[in-house]
Amino acid sequence: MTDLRRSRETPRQPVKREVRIAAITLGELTDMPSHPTDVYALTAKGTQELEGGATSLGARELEVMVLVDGQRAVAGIATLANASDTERVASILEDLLKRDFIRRAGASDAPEAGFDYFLPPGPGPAAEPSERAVASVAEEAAAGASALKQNGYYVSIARRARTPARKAGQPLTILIVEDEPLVAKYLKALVDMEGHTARIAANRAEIVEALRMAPLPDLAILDVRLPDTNGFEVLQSMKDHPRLSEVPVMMVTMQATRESVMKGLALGADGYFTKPFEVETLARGMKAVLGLLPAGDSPPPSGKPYTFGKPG
Amino acid sequence: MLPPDLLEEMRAEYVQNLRARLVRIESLWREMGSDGQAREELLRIVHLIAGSAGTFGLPAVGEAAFELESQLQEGCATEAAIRRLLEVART
Repeated sequence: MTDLRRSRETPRQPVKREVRIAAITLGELTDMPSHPTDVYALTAKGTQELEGGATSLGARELEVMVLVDGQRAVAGIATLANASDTERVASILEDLLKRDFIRRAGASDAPEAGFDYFLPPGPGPAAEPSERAVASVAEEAAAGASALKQNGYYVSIARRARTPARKAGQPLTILIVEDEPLVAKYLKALVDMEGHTARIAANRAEIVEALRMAPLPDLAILDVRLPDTNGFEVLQSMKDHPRLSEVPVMMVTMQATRESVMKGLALGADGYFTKPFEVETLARGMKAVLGLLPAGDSPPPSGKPYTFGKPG
Repeated sequence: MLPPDLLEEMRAEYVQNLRARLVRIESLWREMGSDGQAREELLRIVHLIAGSAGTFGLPAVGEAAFELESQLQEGCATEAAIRRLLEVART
């Protein structure tokens, strides 16, 4: 499939390659190429450039730079700038970063903005997807539910198509929303072992707190049933949020039914895990949603699940 | 793969915690007739066990808890389902 598509796109390839080369070169100078979830803030030089009378920047660069506010992620800026190509916006941002007009946003960049109405206490809005959204994922949900039963995880087609992987070996931040303390501890041990950083939240207040912290998580794993909210409500709030909408979300369910998978996918989830977890499945599922599995890697064999403390 | 020592340590911690939960489940079951709050707490504990026991090497406990959870949600929990969970978990 991929090879066919490539050969069909041959005439356009040189243009694409130019953009890529630029991104890689700048990436080397500025640590890492931009990722859709990266957040930038203006530097003093950047603020001066925008406020001053004369500017050395082009119209497109200015249009992108005025949207840099220390909160919006690259993908959000691309949407607002009406740019169909996030990669193009990312390369403009990398150029601005190299020229010291912007910097990578950190914990001090008022990350709480946009959280005033995020998951307010009390019964939230019914997290129900629209009929249209449900219809659009109906077919995938059936396939997803059966893959989930067989493999223990499922990553949506849409996510697989758009996830640009972080560089292998770079530590990632994984938000784990889980209200059973021992399961949370177990998941944290697994994430630590993979060389990543785990952030744990067990209820509504802790979820808000964990999502306000910089850096943004590279992945959120959401349990559906929680004491004072539920995973679907959190998912919907994240997808409605300017900063969080691009964070990949894996839902955790005990029932791998078509209905439960359909609801999550229609609300914008990027995949599912089934409970109870198995170590290998989780590690692979996390890699799959983050785009870190090598191309053509097949799902794990659906053999006997790993059993705690009892080999075989 | 997580180190076997750590896995065993977590499993032992889970089993210890499960014992305490079983005691609580029995007492909540007795209170449940007259107390709506008891039902809520019972449902919550049973749900936690249903979602976690399998991870810690106790799939039969997880299944018994899941069955009881489904019954509790439908408001038709049976003494048999409670007994089954307690028995499976204690063996």
